[in-house]
Amino acid sequence: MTTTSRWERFWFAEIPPHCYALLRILFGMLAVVSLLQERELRLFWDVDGLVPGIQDGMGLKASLFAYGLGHVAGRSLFFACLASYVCMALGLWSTLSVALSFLALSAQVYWNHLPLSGAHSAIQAVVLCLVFADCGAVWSLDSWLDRRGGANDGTLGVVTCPIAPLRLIRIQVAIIYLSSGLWKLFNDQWRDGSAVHYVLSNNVYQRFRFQVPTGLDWFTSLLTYAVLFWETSFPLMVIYRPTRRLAILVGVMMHLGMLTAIEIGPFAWVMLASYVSFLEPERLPSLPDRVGHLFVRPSRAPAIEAQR
Amino acid sequence: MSAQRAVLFALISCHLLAIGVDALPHPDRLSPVLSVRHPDGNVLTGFLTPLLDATAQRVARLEKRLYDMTGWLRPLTRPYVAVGLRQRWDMFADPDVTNLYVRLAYTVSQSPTEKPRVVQELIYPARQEDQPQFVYEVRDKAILVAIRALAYARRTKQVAVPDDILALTRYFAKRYAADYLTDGRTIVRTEVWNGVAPIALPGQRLSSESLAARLDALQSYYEGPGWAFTPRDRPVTIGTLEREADIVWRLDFVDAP
Repeated sequence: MTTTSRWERFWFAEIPPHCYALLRILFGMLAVVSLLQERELRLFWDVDGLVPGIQDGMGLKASLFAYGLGHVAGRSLFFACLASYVCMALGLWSTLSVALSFLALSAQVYWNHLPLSGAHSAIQAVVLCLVFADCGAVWSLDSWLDRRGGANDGTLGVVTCPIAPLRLIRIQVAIIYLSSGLWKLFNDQWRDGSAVHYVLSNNVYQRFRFQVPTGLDWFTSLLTYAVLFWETSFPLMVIYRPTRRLAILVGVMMHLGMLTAIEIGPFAWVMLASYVSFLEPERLPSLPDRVGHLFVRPSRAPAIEAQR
Repeated sequence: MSAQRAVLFALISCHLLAIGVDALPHPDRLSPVLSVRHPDGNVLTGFLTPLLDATAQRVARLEKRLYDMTGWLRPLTRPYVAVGLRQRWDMFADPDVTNLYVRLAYTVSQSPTEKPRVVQELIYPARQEDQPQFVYEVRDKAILVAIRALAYARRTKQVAVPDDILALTRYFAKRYAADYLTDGRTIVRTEVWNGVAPIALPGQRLSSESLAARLDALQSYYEGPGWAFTPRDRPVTIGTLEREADIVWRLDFVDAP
């Protein structure tokens, strides 16, 4: 195999569409949840709320406000975003709703960037990649409606799509961790092992009011360095399959640990959802069956009958 | 490779180049590593801190070189990433070493002859510190971003007042006026006070007395906006400090439209 064909295969190999469908569902749901956290319309969407952009009296928002349309525009945008994200999660008009969701996520940044966190940027980056993937071929209302209408004659099992968008999502996740790790490297507290101590002690993030026990000083240092090394080495670790598993396992543990100890919004969930892109795409079509087997034991009756 | 795939590959390369270039922060945004430290902490910090300090110094030089080398690309990639692909992933990169609070002080006046009175309202954090937190407070994020935008504007000596902080003062002032000022009185000035309270150093604890005193001081704010206890004969200026228990308040911004 030549280098060119290997390179071509790297970007354009055909894979089942199930990973895109799962990412669409998860990121659609996360976009809905993030949006609903900003459901206080007077505060985050009305132009005279906690919304920048009208104070200098210039620009679109200021003009809308001047013509008395600020409230209508803000609230319309909220409901348009909600409709796009719900349609994306359900897989209704998938191609269009994923594209509209990306536009809606960008519109949110334009309208009011203040309440948006890294979670929003991460959702946006992943959804952009999904715009170029066939997200609605399976596990969607589109495919269900197709089947119901007889448009699909059962050949769906052989539908495949290029791996390029999935590769781009993987690269994006790797950039997120590498960049985050390098930012941390330039901070005194991350280098001297005290950062996790300060994060856990912060009055805004803490779930419960507590002080880190003095005897756990070494443990918070260990966690600080573990996060720093794991984030900076994440891109290298995900290249090879054995280390990829370790990188993802540490990531799951780290994000679950964060979810338990501190409240930082949907970021941990977003990153956990992004790990779907690192699963083997060929194994995903059987995921519902495998998950089903976890909860429903296969009937032993045929085996018993056979013994008889 | 077909022509279609060649075009797609070119687009993918442009995308990766753009986000890669944007992921490089301006060298001024990174905290300088002034020296290699040798702390007396535990074995782990004693071994790794000097190693990481030295590494960070080298990476800073490399990062600056890369940033300069890609400078000509930035005007080309900036419009693309501006549509919603900004690559600034600095979550927890600069953890606060103190607890933060933000309170607003509204100067309320009815007429030029009436002596103005000051009302104070704690707006950050939204939740009470003595209560567990199970829900993410988006409002806190919005306030923090606005406060940091002001700090950044001050640090970089930008003359213009960031729109973010004006959105904050005007929203809360309007909300207070709508809820409490019904007798023709108006808010003539809104002050933003940033409060900091210590977090114990690693391996140490704050005394329960100081924590109780802090909670006691915060308790009056939790009851809602209230008249300031300290009467003011003249307006205070930016940089003025006030103390409540172990919280040190600093006046950071005044909005007097």
